Amino acid sequence: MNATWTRLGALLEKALPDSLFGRLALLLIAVALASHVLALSLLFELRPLGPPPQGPPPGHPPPEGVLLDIAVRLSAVLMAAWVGARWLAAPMHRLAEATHELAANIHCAPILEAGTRECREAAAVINLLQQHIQTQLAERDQFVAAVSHDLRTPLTRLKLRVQSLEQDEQRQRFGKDIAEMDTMIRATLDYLRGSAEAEPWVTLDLRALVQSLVHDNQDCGHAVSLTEQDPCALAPLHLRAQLSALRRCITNLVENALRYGGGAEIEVAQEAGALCIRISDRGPGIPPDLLQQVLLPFYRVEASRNRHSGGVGLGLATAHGIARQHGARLVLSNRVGGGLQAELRFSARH
Amino acid sequence: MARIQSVLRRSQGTQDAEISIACSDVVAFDGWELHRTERSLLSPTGLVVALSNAEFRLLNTFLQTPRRLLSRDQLMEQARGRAMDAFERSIDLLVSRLRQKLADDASEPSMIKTVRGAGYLFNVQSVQVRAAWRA
Repeated sequence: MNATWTRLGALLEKALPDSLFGRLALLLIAVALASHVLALSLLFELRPLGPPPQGPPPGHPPPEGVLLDIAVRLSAVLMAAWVGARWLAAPMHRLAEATHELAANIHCAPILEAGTRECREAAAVINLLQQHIQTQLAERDQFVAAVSHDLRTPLTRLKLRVQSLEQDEQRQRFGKDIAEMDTMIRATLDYLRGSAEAEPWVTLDLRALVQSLVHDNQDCGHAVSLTEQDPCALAPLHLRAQLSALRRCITNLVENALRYGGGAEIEVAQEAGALCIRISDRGPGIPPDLLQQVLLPFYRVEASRNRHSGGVGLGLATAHGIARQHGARLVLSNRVGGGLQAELRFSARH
Repeated sequence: MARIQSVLRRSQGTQDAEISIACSDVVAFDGWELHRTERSLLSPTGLVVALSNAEFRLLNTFLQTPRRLLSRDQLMEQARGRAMDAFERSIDLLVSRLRQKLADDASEPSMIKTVRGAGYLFNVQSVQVRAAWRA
């Protein structure tokens, strides 16, 4: 019995329109139709009591005039319901669209506070929220950037002082520690720069960019290879992008593959109008439930906590941030046969 | 006499160019632009083409001595750095990559000419430097 009810409920829910506009329109139509039916039935009920009209006797099909009348009324009711529902649902619709834009870009202009009171209030609250988030983001950026920058000055002094140390072994150890710290600070600055720096947008050749990075790595003796969808194709792949940022993004992914997999296979492809870069390695991969989390800043898979194999924990986060800025998706997946694949897929509109 | 003067003038000119090219941000040649800070080329059609480190150094070498024959050894020393061990073909590979970036047809190159048995020659009409300009 209970099951039938839930099934009936589910069916009803499915039959109901999904949007506010649809539900309002349905409600208005139902109300208008019900009132009409009520009025008509009252009319017909009263009619037999009165003197028989000149028209056709009861029982005969209604004449065309009556049908036309009903059709006109029905269409008028439908029109009115449509216009009314639209009018009522429009502010909510606008608000939903504005929120959508806000979710994609937190720095967009505040939402216009218009429409019904509820909508105005909701818009005001969302605007307040946006302001809070913006302030916090700005504060965080400023704070970490200042700290990172201030740390560098004494670090440079330390680097110079280490040179005057007597013992060779000590000097090497100090030097190593300082170099490690320097890397961490640089990675932090890189990560923050991704959101703060305003680099100009240019049209660049993605193939040339990837090739240059592959060749640089090969010249340094790293096991990096490039496979192309069509080896004969030399035509440039146009992409609107920020050169340094995108370079940093791909470099980080390649470095990651080198660090954990010892080598990287890079593929550039154009699929359904969308440009796509895949960077694969044959390392240990990442546990499936952590694939999303490794994109967060300062997150490292436990096994790589050791700084000798693991980085600072910002490489993937930086790459993810830059990808998002470029309207691209960075997707990590484990490969069949072991290893990790990082796919950078740009949206087709570029 | 006139010949000596012209040689002198030429050597002077290239020296001046060398100095200014070495410290400027943007070098323009035949419709192309080399942006040093970004390590990239701007093509005549407005496309940004990224260069690898070795390609960048090779192009810099070419730009410092345009229209002059450079032997493989010279190029190798300048572009690859002394520490790299020099094997004969690697500079040819590098040149072919740079040609590709410059959209220079390898079968009939117009910009980077091969001088058989001697080396390469960077054949551009004009090399100009100017302050950094952002696209």
